[in-house]
Amino acid sequence: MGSNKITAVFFAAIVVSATFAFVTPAMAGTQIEVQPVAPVVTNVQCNQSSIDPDTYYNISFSLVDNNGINTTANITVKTWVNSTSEPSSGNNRTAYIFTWVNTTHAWTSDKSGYVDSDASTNVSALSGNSTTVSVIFKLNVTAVPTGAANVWEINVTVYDEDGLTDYDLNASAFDVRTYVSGTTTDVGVDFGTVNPGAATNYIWGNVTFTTNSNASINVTGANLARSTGETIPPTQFYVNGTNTGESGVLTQLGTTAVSFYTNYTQVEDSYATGVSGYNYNEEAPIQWNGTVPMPCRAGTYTGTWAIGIVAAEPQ
Amino acid sequence: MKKNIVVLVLVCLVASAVVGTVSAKTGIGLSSPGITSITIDKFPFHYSDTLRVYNTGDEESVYSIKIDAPYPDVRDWISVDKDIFTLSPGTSTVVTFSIDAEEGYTGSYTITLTPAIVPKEKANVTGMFVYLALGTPFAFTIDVPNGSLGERPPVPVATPTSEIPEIAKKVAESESGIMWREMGKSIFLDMPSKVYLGDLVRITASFIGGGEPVNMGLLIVSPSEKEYRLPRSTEFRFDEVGTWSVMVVIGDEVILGRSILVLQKGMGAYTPYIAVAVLAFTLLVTILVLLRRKKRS
Repeated sequence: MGSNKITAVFFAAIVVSATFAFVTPAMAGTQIEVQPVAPVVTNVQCNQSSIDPDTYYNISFSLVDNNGINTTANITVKTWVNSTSEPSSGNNRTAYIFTWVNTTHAWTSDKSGYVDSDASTNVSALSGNSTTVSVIFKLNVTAVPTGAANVWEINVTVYDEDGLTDYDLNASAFDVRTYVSGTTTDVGVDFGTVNPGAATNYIWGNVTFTTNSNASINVTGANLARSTGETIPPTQFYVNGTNTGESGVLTQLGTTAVSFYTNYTQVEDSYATGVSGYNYNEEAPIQWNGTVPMPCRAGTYTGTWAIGIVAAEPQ
Repeated sequence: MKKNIVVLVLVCLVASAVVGTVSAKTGIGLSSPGITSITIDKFPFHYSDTLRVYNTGDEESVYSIKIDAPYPDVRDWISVDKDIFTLSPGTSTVVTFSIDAEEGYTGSYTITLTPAIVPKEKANVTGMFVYLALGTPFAFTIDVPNGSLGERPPVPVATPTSEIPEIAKKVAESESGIMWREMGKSIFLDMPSKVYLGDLVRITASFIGGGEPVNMGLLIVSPSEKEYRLPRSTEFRFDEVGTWSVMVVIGDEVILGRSILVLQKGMGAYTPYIAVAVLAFTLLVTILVLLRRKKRS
């Protein structure tokens, strides 16, 4: 064994001991602390800028969580008319709240029936750290129409399992269109057989209607005609909006539209507490009468009158 | 057992009586944009938007969309992509309306689009009876501050010419008939394809399954363009030889049409061929006679 070998063994011993000195403590237990990171919500939008009531649309937003999308605990989507403040609960007219929670893994709306849970994104089923979430929703037929001064806003707030949160607001998300509907079981007005020069009976009818604003109801008359061409003009007849508390008036018919309810708005507001200016399944009573002119040829006279339900201008 | 059958029969009778007395509910809904006015700053001008029409009743109904404008030339600017259609209960459809104005007069014009239920025909009407057409008018104003044609003249602008003669001509030229508007209902037009001059012929238009609209009728146009507006089931005497057009209309809208050939009495369908044959025969005889004379000379 030469001095070179002794030197080599000496250095090798130093290197080995040095290596043990560095490595040994780490091998005793490895630990990395991963920090909880807040979710990030951006790009909140509705897929249409002008929406029809009672029709499904899509609210979407981007969600990033570097701890994993499946760590999302709950999501709250609120949409409301900007003339009111951000709601703490929903109603049928000005505010809707849709929520997703990781206990049920489903979307719900606080007034039931306004979110399609099956078609909306189930966040807990996702992997990775980013996604686009879709909430398929619709609004009630009495949702406040906008388009002039007002607009609907959307706010999305997300909490993760660590209690960290983020939100994003679209302050001008969409307008709701004006909605008007009516139903009737009246096929028509049957005055029956009347003598020339005589007054008809008073015939009752009604229209049940819904509007997301105040409304007026009008009628456009037309001649009643016999098969051989003789006519009775509409000016021989009257329509009476007998609910005077709802702006009903007695009106003579003509060939242009005349209103017999000039400003109908539901008084009781249990359907959307505290928010008036709409009509939901309101029954407007109508009374018809007239006088047969003299002379008037005998026979069957028929015609068609148009009843129009007209919405007030959007807000 | 016998008692049970009697009870069952009574229950059935009561149930059918109740069903019979419950009236069908017709309904219409409209969702419309929040526009109240549209300004035409420059011609040509184009604008389009949509309406959604709902059937809020509990039975299938036919719907029409009427367009009202104060002047015929302004009315011509407005169109809808479907003006008559059928909706089942609980369904809706989107209707696109457009404004296409190439030129126009200065003014402010109120336009009203009225979707409405077309009332169904009631059987055995007597006395005075009024059908009610429930509708949901949507109105807006078109403002033209500086019209390309200047101020509107005091005399009425000429009414656009009727499209009926042109439609009738196309119907007359067609072999199997023409469907002008697909409205989601099958229509049966019961009439012969060939009649003789002066014959009284029954012609009936109906929906397969019934429920015809009250304003469903026939528009019959003669070869010389005389127009006859008649009820949907009528007897008609054809007084002109040639090809007539028989069209089914709902209100003013032509839905479909078929042609009908009116022949001179005593002549059949082969009359033209017989005439040609007689002519050919005469020509042949003449040629033979001429040839014979030539031979003799």
